[in-house]
Amino acid sequence: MREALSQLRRALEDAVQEHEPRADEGMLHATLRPASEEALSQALRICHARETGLLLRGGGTEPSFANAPCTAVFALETGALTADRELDTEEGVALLPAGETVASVHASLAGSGFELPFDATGAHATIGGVVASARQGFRYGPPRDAVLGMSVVLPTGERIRFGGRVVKNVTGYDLNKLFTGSFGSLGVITTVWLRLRPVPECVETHRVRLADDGGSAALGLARLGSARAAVVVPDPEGRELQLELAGDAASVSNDAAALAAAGATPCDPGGVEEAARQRLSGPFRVRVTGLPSAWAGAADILEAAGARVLAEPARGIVRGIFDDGPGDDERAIARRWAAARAAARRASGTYAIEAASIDARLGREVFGDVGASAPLQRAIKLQYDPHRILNPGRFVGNA
Amino acid sequence: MTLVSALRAVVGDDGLLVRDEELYAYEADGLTLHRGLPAAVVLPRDKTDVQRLVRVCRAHGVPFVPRGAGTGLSGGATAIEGGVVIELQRMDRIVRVDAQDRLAVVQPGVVNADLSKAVAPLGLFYAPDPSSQQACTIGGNVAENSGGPHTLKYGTTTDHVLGLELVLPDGTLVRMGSDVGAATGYDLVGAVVGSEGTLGIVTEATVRLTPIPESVATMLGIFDGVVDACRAVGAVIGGGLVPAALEIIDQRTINAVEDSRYAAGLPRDAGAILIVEVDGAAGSVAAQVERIRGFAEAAGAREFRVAGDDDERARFWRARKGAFGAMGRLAPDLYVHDAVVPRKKLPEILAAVCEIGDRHRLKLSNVFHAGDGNLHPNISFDRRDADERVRVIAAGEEILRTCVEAGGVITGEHGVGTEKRDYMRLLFSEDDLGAMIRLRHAFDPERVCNPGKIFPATRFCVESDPKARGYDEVPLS
Repeated sequence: MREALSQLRRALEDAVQEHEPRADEGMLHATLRPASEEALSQALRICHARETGLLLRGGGTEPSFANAPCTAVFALETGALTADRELDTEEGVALLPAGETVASVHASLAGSGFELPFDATGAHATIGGVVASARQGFRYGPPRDAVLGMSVVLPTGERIRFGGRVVKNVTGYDLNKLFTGSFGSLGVITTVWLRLRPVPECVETHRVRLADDGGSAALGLARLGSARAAVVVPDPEGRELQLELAGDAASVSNDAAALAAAGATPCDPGGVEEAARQRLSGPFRVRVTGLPSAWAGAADILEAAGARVLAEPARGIVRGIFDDGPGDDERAIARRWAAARAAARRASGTYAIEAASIDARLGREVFGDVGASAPLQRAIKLQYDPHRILNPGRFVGNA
Repeated sequence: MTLVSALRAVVGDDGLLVRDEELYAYEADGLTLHRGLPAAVVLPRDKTDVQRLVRVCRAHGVPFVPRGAGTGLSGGATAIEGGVVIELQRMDRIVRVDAQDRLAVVQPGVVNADLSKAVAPLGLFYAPDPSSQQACTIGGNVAENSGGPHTLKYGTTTDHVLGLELVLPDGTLVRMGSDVGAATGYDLVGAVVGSEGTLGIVTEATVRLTPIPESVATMLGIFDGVVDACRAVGAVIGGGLVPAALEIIDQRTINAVEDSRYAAGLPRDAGAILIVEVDGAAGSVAAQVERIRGFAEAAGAREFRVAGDDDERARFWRARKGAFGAMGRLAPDLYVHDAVVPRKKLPEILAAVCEIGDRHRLKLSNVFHAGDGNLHPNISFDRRDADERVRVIAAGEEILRTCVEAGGVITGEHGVGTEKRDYMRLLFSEDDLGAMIRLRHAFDPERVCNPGKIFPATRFCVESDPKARGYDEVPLS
């Protein structure tokens, strides 16, 4: 480790910094903060040659969404990768550096007529972090839909590019899809080309209390054409659906009338932001993605296990948030994992544990059941990262 | 056991083609410039057949090429290195439709348009709509990540595939993705869609179905020149509208269409016609039509028509989608090019493309997805004329170089195949290509599944064999 650190200091100079310990990261000996692709490439070549593990960090928004333990020796922060930025609002696309925060891009685009289709969850969330973790908020679809191209530095040091600024492209394999959601296990994303969205002409928020058997009613409302966000949140008397309609005035007005007929009332904006804040609260959090028609069944299972539920019926996503950690109570941990699995089974879908203590994660797979594709997943990891230096132990199958 | 007898043991006599007159039907796909005769063609009936066929090929050391309807335009389904073509059109069952959760599970041989037809009574449709949708199959669409005129709003095939069942090049059957699209681990579905049949053979696909919109309006903006039509496109996109489709056809195409069975009463003297379609709630559609009328007129449209009923709409689209067929009247062969540029560059690139066609003395026409910046310069030619064939290839290369220099790419929906593999270096470095080959190696380390596609010939020694390239008479670069 010492030799690797000396070599890194010689190569990267100020970009090697003292490590500030953070929860959920284990023991790390230094933080690498390269400010250019060239420096990043050098760092990766050194670590690859010395088989030295690196823990990748963007904004640190969801540090415990990972398998444990991580066997990294150094942290690698992407926050200094802020060069190469272009906002092309004539074309509706943007080239963004991995280290830039989502909040800062939103601010830059204000008044341009276009918006970034990423939810600004967490003040420090970075573009690279959102893409690498495929983090999805309540307003927009998955990041994969918006990614047009990217630059990546591979663990072996090669600097590669694929995709680009055009909105339609089938030139070669779609590596954008492979790297989006790969949790930094295949390479370090340095820049991303994204498709922007036109700012909607009109935005309205509405709420409607759901009847006990309101699963299909909520799904019908959540699927209204202009429903940009539709989140079921807990309510003192049960569940409430909060909707944000966005689009042209005629579409929004049309859907608002349908909501009114279903008993919804207009409400102050902010409900969706509050739900987004809640999504990141709680020490133990579960996400189930299943058939939209089965969202209520999955929600019931998580609620029965003691979770607060935030659900997006139209996307089939149900989140269970536990306000207390199970500590080291193995039976309590196992019960929560079992509830996640049962909810996923009910919805014919998948589950992931988005937050849990290291104790709770040890020896368990937070990304759910991989199934028969596991050998293929391993083969891909080894093709790109033969010495397993990137986020070792953190991704699916402790890859 | 010989290769042929081993194949026959799997599919029987009625699933095996080995006579020359049968095989010639498979020597090319829609790209007739590149040809390669397979040793045999097999027609499996289910996934077990596919697995067994793949294992037979491996045991005999021959490559295999998956093929749908053969409508591809980049040579992707051509057996450029020989071997066995595995044609999947007999696997044409819609296995399951779940209207509530808006999905369908289909075998690869299901014809694209048949799926939309089958689910229309449920108020749903399958959104990707390549021009060949009456013939092309879902399996082929997955391999090529096919698009179509409605890509602008609805996305390409990759946005509509939730899960796949795939026979890997070693014969293993693997499922990836799910009924809900969510994957655990790497996005294998995203990696396989658009991989041009080089990572395995799709035996089942779970696809997303989309609600049929409440209201649709189709418009024609008639312009004196193609540059003005492109300006209108820029104004629509810059104005924050996302139409379902935004297409342009030029004068030569208009006349070819009007001379054909796809005639729709288009004005022959128009320099270009912009076809726009919007959909959604009725009030929204009406408002969008008026905004688009304003953009078109400001850009110089001499006339703006809105289809009065479904019949007229269908006529507009028949003209657009029949354009490639109509060009059959111009010459025996058609080279349909495919490239993408930033939308704002369309006017200058189109002017350059037309100049290239003129300079090479070729019949070049344009019909393209303007909203996506996806050009289709079409060159009508006679491949028996060796000199003309050389000029076709030279012009094609120039067009690609021009598009790349403008910040574009060499294919938006047809794929690389054999057609453009030697142009990949216009866009990608050796390291970029190496990163793609790593993915290939994870799936197919022995490179037996559809070899000779995507990657420049010199990546592999066998691909540098000019005879294997199928276009040995016409040097590409």
